[in-house]
Amino acid sequence: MAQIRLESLTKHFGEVRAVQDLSLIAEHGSFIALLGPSGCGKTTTMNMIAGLEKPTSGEIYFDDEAISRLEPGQRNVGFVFQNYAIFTHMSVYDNLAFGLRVRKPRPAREEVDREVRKVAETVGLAQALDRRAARLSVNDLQKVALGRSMIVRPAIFLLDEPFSNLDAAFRAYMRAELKRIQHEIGQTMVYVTHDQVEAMGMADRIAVMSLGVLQQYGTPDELYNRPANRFVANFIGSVLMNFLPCAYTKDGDRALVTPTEGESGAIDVSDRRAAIEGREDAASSLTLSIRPERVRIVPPDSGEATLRAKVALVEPLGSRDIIHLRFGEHDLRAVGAPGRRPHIGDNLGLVFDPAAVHVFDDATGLALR
Amino acid sequence: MAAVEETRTTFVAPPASRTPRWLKPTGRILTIVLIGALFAFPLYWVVTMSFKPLPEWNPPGKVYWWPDNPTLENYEKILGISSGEQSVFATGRSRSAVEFLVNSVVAAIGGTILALIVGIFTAYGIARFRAGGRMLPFQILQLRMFPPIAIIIPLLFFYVEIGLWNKEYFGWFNLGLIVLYGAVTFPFVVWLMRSFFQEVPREISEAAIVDGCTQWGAFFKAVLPQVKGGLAATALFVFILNWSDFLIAKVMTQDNNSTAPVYLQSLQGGASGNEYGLQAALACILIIPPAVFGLLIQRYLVRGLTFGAIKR
Amino acid sequence: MASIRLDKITKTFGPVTALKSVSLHVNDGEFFAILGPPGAGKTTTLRTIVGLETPDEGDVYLDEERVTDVWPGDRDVALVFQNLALYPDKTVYNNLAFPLRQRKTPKPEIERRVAETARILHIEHLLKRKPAKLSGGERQRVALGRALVRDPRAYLLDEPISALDALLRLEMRTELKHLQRDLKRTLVYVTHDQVEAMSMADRIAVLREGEIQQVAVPEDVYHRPANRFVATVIGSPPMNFLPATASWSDGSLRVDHVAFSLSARAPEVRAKLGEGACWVGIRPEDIHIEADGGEGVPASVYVTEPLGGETVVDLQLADRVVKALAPATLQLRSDQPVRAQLDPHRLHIFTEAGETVLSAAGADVFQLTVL
Repeated sequence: MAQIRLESLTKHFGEVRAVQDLSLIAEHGSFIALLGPSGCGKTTTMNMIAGLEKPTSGEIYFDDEAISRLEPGQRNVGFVFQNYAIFTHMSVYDNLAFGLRVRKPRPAREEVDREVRKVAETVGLAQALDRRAARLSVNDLQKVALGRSMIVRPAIFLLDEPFSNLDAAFRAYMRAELKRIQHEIGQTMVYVTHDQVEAMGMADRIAVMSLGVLQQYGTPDELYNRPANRFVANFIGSVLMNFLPCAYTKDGDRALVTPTEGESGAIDVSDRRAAIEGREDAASSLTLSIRPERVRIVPPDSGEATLRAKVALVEPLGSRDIIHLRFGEHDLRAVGAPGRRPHIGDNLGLVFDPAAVHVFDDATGLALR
Repeated sequence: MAAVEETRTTFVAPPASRTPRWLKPTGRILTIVLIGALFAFPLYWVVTMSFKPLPEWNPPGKVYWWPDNPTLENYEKILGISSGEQSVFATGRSRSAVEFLVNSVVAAIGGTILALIVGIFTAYGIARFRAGGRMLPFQILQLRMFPPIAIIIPLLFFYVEIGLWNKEYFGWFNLGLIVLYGAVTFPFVVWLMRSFFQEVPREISEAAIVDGCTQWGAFFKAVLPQVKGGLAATALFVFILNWSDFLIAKVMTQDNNSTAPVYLQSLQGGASGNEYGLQAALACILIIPPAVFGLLIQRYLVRGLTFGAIKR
Repeated sequence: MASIRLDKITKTFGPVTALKSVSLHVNDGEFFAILGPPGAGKTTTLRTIVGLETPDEGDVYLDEERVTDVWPGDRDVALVFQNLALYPDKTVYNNLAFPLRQRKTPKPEIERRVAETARILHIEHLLKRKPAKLSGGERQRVALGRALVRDPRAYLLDEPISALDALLRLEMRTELKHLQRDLKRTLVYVTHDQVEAMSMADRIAVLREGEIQQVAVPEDVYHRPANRFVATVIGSPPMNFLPATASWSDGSLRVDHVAFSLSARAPEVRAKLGEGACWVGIRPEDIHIEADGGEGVPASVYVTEPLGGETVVDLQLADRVVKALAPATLQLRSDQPVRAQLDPHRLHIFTEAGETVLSAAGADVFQLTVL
């Protein structure tokens, strides 16, 4: 168990700036996720924590001990990779026991046996110990990979997209299992993924990265409800976020934003007045944004409606519908219940509650609040 | 899936070396220069020799590292521009190799084209349609496992029997040699082109078929353009093999129907002694076509030769 | 424009049977999805329609005309390959023009149609580039373009967007659907992603190990799955299955689970279900969690997985972990005791082998009693 602290961590590969000035703390016993699209620097970051890459500058601390010059073997970290390193010619039991048996001095047979059975129980392989790894399903192989890393009790557990080869249903199952395992063993885990559902579902805190730069480091709730910038807003969530260019006006004490194109009501953003007026370049344009799940659908003649838009397409997902709407030149999305499915061409009233609306500065992309 | 993949292993830093830091690059460069010189020396020798007049060829007790009196005489003689009256051993007979060079060019290019045509289609059949099953490519390569000398004598009888031995049509078209060169080098074409074709996704040819091509059309319009590099590299390789052949031409042809390498050898010894200068001049001329060919297709060559080596 | 019909197609590759007597009818102008896990035979089905595979048995019909032995290029259907299969040595323009040139289209016509296609797909600025210089999304558009430019009778798409990153996938999904709406062409879409199938398709065929499991509109696949496999493949997180025992008295069915029991009047399914072991199925969104006492099946929180707008709550319910969906506002911690309310209008009963026996699908079919 350990706390991980990254301080101004930077890695360049020639001209390519893979990781830029990354600082963050993973508290001891926490589950953090490095999230971002491919090429964002998440794997490079993990490789530096593991010791497979040396940082260009900056330092990594495990419990206040600087470790960036240590070899991987000296760091006491456990890995689970996308391509699980399994010895297919061995039984599940021997695969699990491997990490213990290569230790010097070699632990007693009874001790190995005890540990193997305990880990097998945790990852759900207790019934499969005698099977040869070559005969396992992809799903079980991944469990073996997980168990092999767990058994050596690393201070820090690193997982690089371990579920990306699994089918959807089993991935959903493993997500819950891994989170539960982490809850029970209380080890610090760093999980690298490009899948926001995995990161949101499992991690205590998520570091969202793009082009080597940390965009936001926060809890799933913070990322979802208080995204730091447009990139994070767009990356988190399973339905595309709505964005509309807007104009800022003052009405007495009230600060208002109004979509610049099309007919619509104003949204009261008085609580963000200071941030909006104090933005870097006071002349820069603004964009308002709201999650489709937070858009309320009302009849088009309702006085409550912020704006009215025409239904362009309905995507049924079973439990809910994604309704695509056309507002002037813009596409908007809202989430509806399948029971009240509108028809294509219908006009709907949409309510943008001020609390659900984000205002972004177009010049910097930052959220103003 | 079930591969034993220890993707990342723990590594240990090597112990620090005691050699002074500056010595490392200097020593390395020196070694490279030495080895380079060793390999370049024969080439240097043959090029300088080709410009030496007869007295400097091989005088007893003296070594000419550089032609003291450089001359083009050797080239003139070998290209039939002059007959070389001024030579000490002059016999007056022509030393021109032009006819042999023509024979060489025709046979090497003809053999290369033949090998490419047959080999490319065979390779595509194997790569794309698994023609002949899993063993065929090995069996074809096995054709090359016999030393050619082992089968050249029966072939000689065979050629004599069907009238192809030492037969030149139109005075320059040696069908027998072309067919033999094609047959001998075609396994290499199959082996090389097969791996180039395997690199082209099957879907590319299928896309062309769905887009309206015939199987042949898909091959020529969609697949072949993508292995241009490999094709160029293969053609060069095969051409070099054919161009430098000695054995087959020596056995299968005689006199004026021979190729340049055979003629080169015939300048060794004989009535006028070892004609080193002429040999060197002819050797230098023989170097030119593959070198020029190589330069022309250099652009494709690097990609062609590394193609397949790298998994992208 | 064309309807597509597969009649009892069987296809084997050596010892592997890829398709077992597959019959399908895709209507003219329909957006038809073929959904299944890897290896289910989806791609083979598509390749059989195009003509890249010849079935061992059965026939392919386009507009009721038998085309089983017709050469792919003469079937006039367009295929977008999973790996796109762009011609790497040709520019985008030449990639798009290629199918037209094969059909001996006059040059001005080629120019006009390539320009038109490029405009629809927003790739006008890329026409002079080669595929290697394009981003993943751009290549995707070019591959689509090569199909669109020909104006074929039907479009066949093999997981066309699965290689794109998540955001782009969301965008392309709507774009494709709009496109098909506008073109009004038959489109067969192969995918392993149920969200893509559900959101885009007019009808979905679910395929498993070369056999059709169900062909239906998205709502029916979702609310009336033909079997456990379909129920698992459709919906995310997948449906939960609870082991139970069925018993009958006259036409009344009683299904007992450790923690609750169901009763229903359904004499017509008696023969199918029989007595003994069976499964109760319920989707995560149909389990309502009561954090402070109240009614429902007693359970405890295993873990919670926040997704932002909502939270997946894994519940330890008797000896199983089931997934439920709860609003993000519900605060829960691991091992907290809660009550799970199962919506009786959304329950399904499956035989032990996994065949669907009863799906409530919103109707008053079951009475639920918590034990």
